[in-house]
Amino acid sequence: MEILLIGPPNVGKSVLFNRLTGIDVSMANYPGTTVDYKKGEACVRSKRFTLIDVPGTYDLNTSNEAEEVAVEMLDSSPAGVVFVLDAKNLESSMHLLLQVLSHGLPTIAAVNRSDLVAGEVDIELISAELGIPVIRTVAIEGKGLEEVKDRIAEMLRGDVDPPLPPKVAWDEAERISGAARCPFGTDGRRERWGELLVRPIPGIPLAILILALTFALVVGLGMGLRQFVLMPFFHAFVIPPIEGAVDMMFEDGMVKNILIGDYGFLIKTIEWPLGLVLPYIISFYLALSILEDSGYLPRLAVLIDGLFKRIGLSGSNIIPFLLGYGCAVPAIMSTRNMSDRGRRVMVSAMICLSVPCVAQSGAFISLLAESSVLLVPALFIFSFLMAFLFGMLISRLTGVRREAMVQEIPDLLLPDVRMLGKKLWIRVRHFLREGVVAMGMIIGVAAVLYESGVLVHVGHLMEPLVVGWLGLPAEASTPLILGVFRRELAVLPLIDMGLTTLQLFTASVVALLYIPCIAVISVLAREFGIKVSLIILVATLSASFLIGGLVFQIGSLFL
Amino acid sequence: MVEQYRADEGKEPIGQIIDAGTYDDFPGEGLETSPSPRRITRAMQESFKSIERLGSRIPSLGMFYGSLFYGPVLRRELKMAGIDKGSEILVIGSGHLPLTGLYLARLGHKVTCVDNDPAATASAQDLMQRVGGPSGIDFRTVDGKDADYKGWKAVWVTFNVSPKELILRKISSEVDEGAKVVYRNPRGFIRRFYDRVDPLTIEREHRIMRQIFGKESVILVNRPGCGSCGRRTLCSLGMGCEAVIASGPSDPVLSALGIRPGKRVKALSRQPFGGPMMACVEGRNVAIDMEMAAMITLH
Repeated sequence: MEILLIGPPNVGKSVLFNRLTGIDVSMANYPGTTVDYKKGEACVRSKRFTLIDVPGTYDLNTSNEAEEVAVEMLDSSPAGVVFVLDAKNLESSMHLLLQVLSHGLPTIAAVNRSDLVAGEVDIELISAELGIPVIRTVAIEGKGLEEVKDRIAEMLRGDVDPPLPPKVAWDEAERISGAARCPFGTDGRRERWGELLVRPIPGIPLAILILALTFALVVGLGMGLRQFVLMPFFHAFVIPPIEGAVDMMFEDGMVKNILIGDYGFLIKTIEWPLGLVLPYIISFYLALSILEDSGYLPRLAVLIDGLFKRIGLSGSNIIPFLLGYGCAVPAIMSTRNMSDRGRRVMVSAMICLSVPCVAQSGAFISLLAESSVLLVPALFIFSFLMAFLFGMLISRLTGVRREAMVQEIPDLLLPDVRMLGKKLWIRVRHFLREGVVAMGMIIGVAAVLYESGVLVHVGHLMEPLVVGWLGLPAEASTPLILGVFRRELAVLPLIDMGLTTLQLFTASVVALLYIPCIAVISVLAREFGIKVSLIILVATLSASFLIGGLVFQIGSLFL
Repeated sequence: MVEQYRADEGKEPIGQIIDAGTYDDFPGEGLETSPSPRRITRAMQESFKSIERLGSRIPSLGMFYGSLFYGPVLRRELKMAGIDKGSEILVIGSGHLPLTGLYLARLGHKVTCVDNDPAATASAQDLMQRVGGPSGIDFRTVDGKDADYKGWKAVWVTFNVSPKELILRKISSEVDEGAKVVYRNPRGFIRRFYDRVDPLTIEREHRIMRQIFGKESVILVNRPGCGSCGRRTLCSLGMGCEAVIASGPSDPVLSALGIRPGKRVKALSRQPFGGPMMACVEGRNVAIDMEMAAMITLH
């Protein structure tokens, strides 16, 4: 039995979804499209059903994929619909409800956010007008939830009659909501802040401050988890028994080295994804979820729009970039909700070229901060600059047209701790399920190549480029090869090479612009095809050696 | 002669109203046309001034120059500003060749021209006598920074007035409510040689109209409360001002966000560098691209 949860964006639909479903929630991809939706098992009054969080849309007549999916889901004869009306913007959600009702499914409506309006919404009137059960809810506080569950149970028993098809028009929506609503008033103080945050002053300085704090949270929490919790745990309790077991089973030699040597498959499969990457996954997605749930991201998009306009993008495209500082894989996936393929490719290419993932950022910090603290911001400024220049270049070459920004700026909200926890859990679980397995296989291949001497051999071939043009020591070609597998591996081995400041910066620039890791390449190929991913590979590879070399050659004139 | 200008008006893009405050007119947007070396700028400005000075010495030449440019320009400006015949008009910075004042007077208005240069006032008066200027024109030597701006239906600020932005700010805050302030901005190539005053920086309701010779006319209305006037668009709505939407593109998302005819909309803030504007409709804040906002008309 499937029940659809439908409502406009920013109405608290996800909160209701989380309240109704248990821990078993998953992201699913709608077949044949790029639309992801949430799906969760739920149980009310001992009746089990699947609740589907239909992608939020303002209108069923827009021409984007999310809306097409919503219509298809409505036509797939589900058991019923739970519609979330927005007490604060009753009229526009009423219009969407009328559109949904015209599909003739048993429907119940929850008037959510009724705490944000001064008076009460006349739910009896709406119920009488539309012929469906209507419940007043405040999802974030769990108010009205039990009644929603009762109605869902009735719907599952088949006791809720499908409504008569209503007249779908704005004047009808205006009439019903006008009659049901009292004059609205809202929480003035929070709104005032919400508005100040999008004024250029103080919005822009505050945005810089907020991003700096976010960065500090990600790096601080990530490093803390890694150094004081996860790595000590693995080194004390997990790795020694594995090493012991392998020691007993195999003689010294290649097989043993592949399993537990320098790039030992069994050790690194635990240490790298779980010890080095997981802490940053946790800290990054925690920070990102706070930004998302507080309603700050749309404000950031507004502030950055003017700048992004220069490179043919719109402010909303900041979100893939922010995700990219975590990992390019979800960043590229998140470009799916952009309507234009050219822009998707452009944003993905920019992320691959110049946005370091969180693991690589961590590696940069440990590499550069030891030599000079100023090198770290210098590298990040360089990365912004490269993203901007590269974006300008692509938009000139491809003539990508930007989409005009029309975006609701939701009220600021204090993020709900339960929601944050659940969101973080979904993301961490996703990483554990998909990331760790893939990474394990890559590490296995790398271990075989390393132990069989292939890596060393290829390293010799690259020497003229690495030593002659980039001015780095010969052994620096090994991290470049490993960088294909994991971005931070293009950086970490450099730490003990005793490089000069210029060499450090050159090597960092090369690693920054260097080709994305294998996981990203495979996502690129899946999303855009082999040809586009090859072009991105060649472009990033040549950009990294060209620009890295220029940095060294020009730098050595002065230093 | 006059008929010919009218015939021209229909064909050319000149005189066409450019939607006020489209992103092309945004602060920062003009940065692309970086100012050329000062010497060229000065030479360019001086050469225009000397043409005017020459025109004031040889009246027939001056009149020819005026009829070529000022007649049609002023007619269009008057039409867009909606100024009735016989209105009291002040012209700031009339100069040696007071063509703006002269044509305003010829079109039936009571004009007072002021300039801070006594020599300019004198030669302008001299010129009027020689060409037999119309009766309703008067000259005074006053600096634009000290003039009294009360009691005028409209104030024209000429191209060479400086510091233009300061004076415009002063005027637009001191004129009577509902009075119009008209000034001209360089557009296109000419932007390299003359300073532009972005109407948004003055923070008054405004409209922009394309003119010939690389200029555009800007009409500011001193309307602190926001009333109704001709065709207005959302992008030109002053910060904190409210208006009712007349029409807009039929976009489902815009409709769902409340941007529909008959809704009250309030402009909250604008972004630099051509970013979107923030508007509030029924308690909901919406970011709208300026190009989109230019398509939404207001009552």
